[in-house]
Amino acid sequence: MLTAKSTVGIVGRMLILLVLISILAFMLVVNAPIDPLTSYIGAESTLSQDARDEIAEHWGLNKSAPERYLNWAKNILSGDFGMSITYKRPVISIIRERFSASIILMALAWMLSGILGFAIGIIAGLRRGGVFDRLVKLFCLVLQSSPTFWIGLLILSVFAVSLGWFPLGMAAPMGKLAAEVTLGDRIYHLILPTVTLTIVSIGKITLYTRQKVTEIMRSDFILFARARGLSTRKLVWQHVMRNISLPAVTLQFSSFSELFGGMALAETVFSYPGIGTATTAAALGGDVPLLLGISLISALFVFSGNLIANILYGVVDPRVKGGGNYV
Amino acid sequence: MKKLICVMALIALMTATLIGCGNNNTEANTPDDTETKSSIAVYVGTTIFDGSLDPVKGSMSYGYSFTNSALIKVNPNSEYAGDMAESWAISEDALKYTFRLRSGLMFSDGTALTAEDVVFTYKTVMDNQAENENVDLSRLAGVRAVDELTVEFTLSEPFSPFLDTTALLGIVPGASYDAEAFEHYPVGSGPWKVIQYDPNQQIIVEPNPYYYEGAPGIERVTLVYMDNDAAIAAARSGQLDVVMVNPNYASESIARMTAIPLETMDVRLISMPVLPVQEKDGITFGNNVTSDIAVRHALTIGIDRETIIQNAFNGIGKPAAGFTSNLIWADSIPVSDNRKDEAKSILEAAGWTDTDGDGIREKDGVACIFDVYAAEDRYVLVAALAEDVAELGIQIVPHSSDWGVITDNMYTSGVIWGWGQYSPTVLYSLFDAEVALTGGWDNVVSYMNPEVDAKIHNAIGAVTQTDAIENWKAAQELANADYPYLYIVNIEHCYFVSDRLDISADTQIPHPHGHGSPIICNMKDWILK
Repeated sequence: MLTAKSTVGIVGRMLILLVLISILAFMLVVNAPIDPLTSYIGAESTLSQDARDEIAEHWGLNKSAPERYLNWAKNILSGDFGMSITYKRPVISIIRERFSASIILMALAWMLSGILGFAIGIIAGLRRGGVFDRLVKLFCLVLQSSPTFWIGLLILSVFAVSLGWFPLGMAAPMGKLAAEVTLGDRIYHLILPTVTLTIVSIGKITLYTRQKVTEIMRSDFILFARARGLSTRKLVWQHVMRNISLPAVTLQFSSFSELFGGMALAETVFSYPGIGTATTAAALGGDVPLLLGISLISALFVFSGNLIANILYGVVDPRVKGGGNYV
Repeated sequence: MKKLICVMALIALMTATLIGCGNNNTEANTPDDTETKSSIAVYVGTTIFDGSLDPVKGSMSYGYSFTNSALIKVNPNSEYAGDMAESWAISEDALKYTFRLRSGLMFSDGTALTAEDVVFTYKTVMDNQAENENVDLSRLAGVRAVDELTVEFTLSEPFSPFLDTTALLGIVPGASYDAEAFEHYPVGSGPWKVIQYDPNQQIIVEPNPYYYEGAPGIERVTLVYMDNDAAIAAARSGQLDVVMVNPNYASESIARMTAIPLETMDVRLISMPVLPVQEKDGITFGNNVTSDIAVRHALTIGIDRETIIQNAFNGIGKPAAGFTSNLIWADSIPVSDNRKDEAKSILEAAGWTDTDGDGIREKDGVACIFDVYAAEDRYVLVAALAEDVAELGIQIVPHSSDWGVITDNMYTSGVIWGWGQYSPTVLYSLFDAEVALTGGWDNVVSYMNPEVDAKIHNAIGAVTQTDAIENWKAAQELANADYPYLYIVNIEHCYFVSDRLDISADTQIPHPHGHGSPIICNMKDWILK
C-alpha cells in the first residue's frame, strides 16, 4: 500500500535531492574559470565601461556567490526559474521549448529499445551459441563500443544522403510552414531518428537479458520443469519471464538518464531541437539560472525513472510485498 | 488495487509536470501554395539562432539584420549611406546629431515609421542597456522627435563613432513593440519578415511588401539550423542553396554548387606585450622577449604570411599587416614580408644570437621563446606561425585554450585576437594608455604612447567624418611603428552557393566578425536564375 507516510518520504527525498543537485551545480558553475560578463559581451568587444557596469549590475554578476544562490532559491520557491543571460529569456520557456520537440522521439526510442532489446535478448539467450546469438552478440558489442554520434552519422549518410529514402533530420520538412505540415510529414521525419536512437540504446538491455536468460536456463528448477515435460514456450512464459523482468525493468528505467545522451545525438546529427546546446551554452556562459533549471529538471526526470522502477517491482514480483516500503 | 491506483496517479503527476509543459506554440499561419513560390534554403552557421531577433536586445547588430533596418547603413565601399534616414547633420560642438527620415516609410505590419518610433527604439535600449551587449548608448544623453520626420540625438560628450552606432540599431515600432513576441517575430522596416520561427530548426522569412526599395524577388527563404557536418551532407543531397563551410572544405566539390570565398574586414592579430615583466596592483604585466622591439619588428617583416595561410587555412584568406583597406578608417599597410635575412640581422644587431647551437637565439641568458594562446578555431594559425618563425631562431609555443585561461595569461604572453567591425573604437581598445594596466580586456600589451593617445582623442572628439578618419589613421601609423601587434591574416568567409542562385557579390558588404552569417546582408538582392 502506498501510504501517506511513504508518499511524504518520497517527496521529502526528492526535495533533498533537488536542493543538493542545485547547490552542486551552482558551485561547479561559479567556480569554473569563466567570467559570465566576458562570455556575455565577448572578449573582443569595445563596449564602454559604463555599459559593462550596467550589465553586471542588472544580471547580478557582481554579487557574492552565496547571495546569488539565495536569490535564485528564493525565486524558485515562488515558481520563478529566472531569466537566462545567454538567451535573455525566461528559463522555463527555453526548457519547455527544447523538451517539447524531442520528447516524442525520446519516448518512442526508449520504448522500442526496451521491448525489442528484451525480446531479442530472450531469443538469443535461449539459443546460446547459435548463429543468431553470435550475430546479436557481435552487433551489440560493436554498438556498445562505438561512439553514438558516429553511428548516427553513418546511418544518416547511408539512408538519407546516399539512398535518399529519408529526410536529413529536422522535425518537419525544411521551409514548410507549421500549418502545411501534415501528420505524415511528421511521422516520415520521425522514422530515421527513432530507428537510430533505438539501435544505439538497444545493446545494453539485449546483452543483459541474454545473459540472465542463459543463467536461468541452466538452473535446477528449469531442469526439473523440463523433466516434467514443459515446452520451451511454457518455460519462458512461466519461469524465465518472471525472473528476468525485474532486472530488465531496473535497467531500462535507470537508463532514463541516458535519454539525455540520446537527445544530444538527435540534436547534433538529426538537427532536432534539444536541450544539449542550451546546456552547453549555459555552462560555457556561466548562465546560473539556466544551468540550474536544466539540472533540476533532469534530476527530476532521473528520479522519476528510478521511482517508477521501484514501484514496478511490486507489480512484477508479488514477493516484493508492500511496495510502499520498497520505494 | 488501491495501491496501484495511488502509484499510477503519482507517476502520471510526475510525467505530466515534465511533458505537460510541452505544448506546441508555433504560430499558426494560413496555408498557401508552396509549389508556385520561388524559395531557397540557406545555412549560414548557427549564430543567428543563438540570440533574440529583437534589435532592442542587440540582435544582428553587425549590419546584416534582415528584418529591422537602421537609420543608416554601410554600403559595399564601407561608407555610411542613408537607410531609414535620407540625410543627417552633426552640430559644430559634435554633441547634436540630427537625422531626417525618408517619407512614407512603413513597417512590415503596414503602419507608418515616424520619428517617434526612432525615439522609442533608442529610449528603450537606453533604459535596458543591460539587455543589449552590442549597441552601446552610454554616451547618449537624450533623443527627441523634432517633427514627424526629424530626430535629434544629444550626446553627453563628443563621440564621433556614434554615427556607427546608428548603423547598428534597427528601428522597432513604438505602438506594437512587444518584448516577448519580438524575440522571434520582430516587426521592422527591413526587407524581410519572419513568418515562422522554429527554435534551433529553421527561420522562414518572406518579403516585406512595404519595404521602401520594393519587396525582394525571392518569395521565401528558409534559414536552417544544423551541425556543420549535417549541413554539408544536406548540401550534397541538393537540399541547400547556400552552405557556409570552414576553409578546410573549400577544396571539396559539391555537385551543382560553386565554392565562393567572400571578403571580410576580420583580421587575426597577435598581441605582443611591450613592457618587460613587472607588477602593478597585484597583476603581472609584460614579457621579457616581446618587450624588445627588435623581436616584434623582426617578426612583422620576417614571417611568410602566404605560407602560413596556406598551411593553416588551405590558402583561404589574405595576408594582412594592419586593418583592412575596406575600412574607411584603416591605415592599411601593404604587406612586404618574408624578409628573413633582414629580420635575422635586426635580431643580431639587438644582441639576439644563438650561442648554444639549439636553433633558438638568446640574449643575456634569456631564450627567444614566448607563448601564444589561441581560443576557438585559431590554434591552427598559431601552429603554422610557430613553424614559420623557427627559421628566424624564435620559438613560439602555441596553446589551445578557452577565454578563461587566456584571461590569466593575456598580459604576459601572446594572444591571438580576431577583430572585424565597422567602428574604429577598436583602436581605442588596442592602443590607448587610458585602458592599459587596468586588468581589463583592453590594451593587454600595455602600449602607452602619448602621441597616439592624442590622435585617438582627437578622432573621438572630431566633428567631421574626414577629420575623424585622418586622426584614426595617424594613430595607427604611429602605433604600428612600435609593432605592439603582429597582424597575420585577413580571413575570408567561404560558402558553397547553388548554381541556380546569384548572391549578388557586387552588393555584398565586406563581412564583419560574424562567423559566416553576414552573407545574408544583401539577401534582398539575390536572384534565382
